[in-house]
Amino acid sequence: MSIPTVSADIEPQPGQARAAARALRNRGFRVLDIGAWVSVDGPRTLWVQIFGVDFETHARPATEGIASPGSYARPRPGSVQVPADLAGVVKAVSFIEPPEFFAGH
Amino acid sequence: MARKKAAAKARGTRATGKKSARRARSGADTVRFEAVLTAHSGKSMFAPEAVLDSESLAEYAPARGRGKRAAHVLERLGFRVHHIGRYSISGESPRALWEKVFSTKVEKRRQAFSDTHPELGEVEYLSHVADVPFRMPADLESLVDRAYPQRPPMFFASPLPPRVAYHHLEVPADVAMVLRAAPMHTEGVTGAGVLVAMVDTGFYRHPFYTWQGFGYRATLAPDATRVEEDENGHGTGEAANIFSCAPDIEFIGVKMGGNPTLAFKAASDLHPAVMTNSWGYDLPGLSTLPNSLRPLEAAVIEAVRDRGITVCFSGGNGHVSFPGMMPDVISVGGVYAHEDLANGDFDLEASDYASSFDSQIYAGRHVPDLCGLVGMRPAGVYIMLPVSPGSTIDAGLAGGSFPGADETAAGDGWAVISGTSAASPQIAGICALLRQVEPGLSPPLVKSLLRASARDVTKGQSAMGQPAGEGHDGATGAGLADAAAACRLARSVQVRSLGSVPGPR
Repeated sequence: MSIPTVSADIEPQPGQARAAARALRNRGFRVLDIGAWVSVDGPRTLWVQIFGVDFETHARPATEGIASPGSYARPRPGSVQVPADLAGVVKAVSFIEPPEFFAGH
Repeated sequence: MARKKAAAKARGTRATGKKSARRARSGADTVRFEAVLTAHSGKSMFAPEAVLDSESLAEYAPARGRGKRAAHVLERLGFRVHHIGRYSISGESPRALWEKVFSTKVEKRRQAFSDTHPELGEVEYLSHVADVPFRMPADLESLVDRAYPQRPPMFFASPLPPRVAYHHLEVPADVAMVLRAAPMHTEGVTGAGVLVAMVDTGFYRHPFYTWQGFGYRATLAPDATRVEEDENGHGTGEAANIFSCAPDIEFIGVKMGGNPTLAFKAASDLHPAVMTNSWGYDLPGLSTLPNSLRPLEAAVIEAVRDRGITVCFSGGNGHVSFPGMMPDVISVGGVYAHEDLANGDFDLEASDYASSFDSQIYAGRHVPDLCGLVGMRPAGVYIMLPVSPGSTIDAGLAGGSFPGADETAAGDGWAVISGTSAASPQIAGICALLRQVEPGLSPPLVKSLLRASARDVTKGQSAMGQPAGEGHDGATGAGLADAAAACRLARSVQVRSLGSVPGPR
């Protein structure tokens, strides 16, 4: 059984996208894309360990969209802290929420 | 009238289906078989104690070259060999040859072509008669462990939709007709050579796409898995809307994983001419974009402005949708076409299921730009679409009656849905027609052509209560798309680069 992962887009410090990707990969995150932002995912426990994220489980009502999952992990506001050893390459972290699918239901 | 035409078309299609069943029956004197090769270890996968798994499978592999030698002997005996696999050989033979070589008897058996479509009839196949001996001939004994006739599979999803008694549209014909794409198809404007990408939940290989001959292909976003699985059914179904308008496009579905921005970027990296997206985020009451969505915003802008990709997004079903509200995209709303005609067109009404709103994030931006076909409240049950059998959508709408449910079976691989999820791929298909007519069209010009050629919708209101009216209106924007009119307009456009435009005097 696979471990649920949490996805995020990392805003690197100017000119540090590849360095940020390398640093995050070295800490156990999976780097999925390197562009203006660095797309990564990793186990919820890793986010807690590295970025001190305090997650809450957000339940999405069934009426919001036929394809939406019932619940997902969402960070509590202000709980994401870029650690000092990553501050030189990581500017901010944006967590990904599942989208709505606009079919009839 | 539309219903009568649709019914006539459906009858014609069903006749084709029966022919296919008859074709299957005509092959009932042929044994289609798998001959399992003897293993180098001396073990047999048919032994009572045998367990096949990833660790033990190698024990049942044949010695090197045994497959080719067995195939050679089978061909010498008169069998037709189709494929030499690692563990077995696939082939076929006339019934008499099979019975003679193996000193055995086979008999005809029948099974339903599809348990969800009994009207498709039955298929016949040949199977061993119970308790009749089967002897491996001497020259195959050391090469082939066992050989078995193969039973035809049951098709759980039919290429044909089920019959329902209420007004609805079928793909591809009805959608193409109402959006006036069908006349362009007869002129050879079918989207041929135009790559269209769709980011969605997955792309199950539904027989509908195979039987229609559509170029339906899929790939994975970097964080997604199992490309042909679509547990939700959304992507599999909505893709049919694109092919309705542009049957000859080059299509690539991109299955998203946990990060839709990543899937969008993966699709954009393929540099398609057109992208369609039937998803987004509901941002009611917000006047600034959340930081978490900035990467998606940047990816959309890059696709449209830097790569020249025409990007369509659903406007939402009562949602204040992002990226559907971005000025760069074609934001698609919904119009419902009744089955009756009025003033030379279908009786058109703004869908009360589809969004319309003024963005508070992008000043001056109204959603939608124009509309595709969308059903009405309470559930938007409107277009019969192929979905993965037993998927969330397939099961979710079954078990009730119209208009709250779709009256199809839970596992039949069909659902009657819509929403602006259907409208965006319809418009994307029309964009592909425009790009075939005039490959140099820029995304803003494509949007302008679509809006300028749309049909005015003057009655009804959107999910937000904005009314439709004469000319451009809140509920439908420019109105319902008209593919033929848009293509005619595109033919008259002379694409010029900025360098060729005379400077101001």
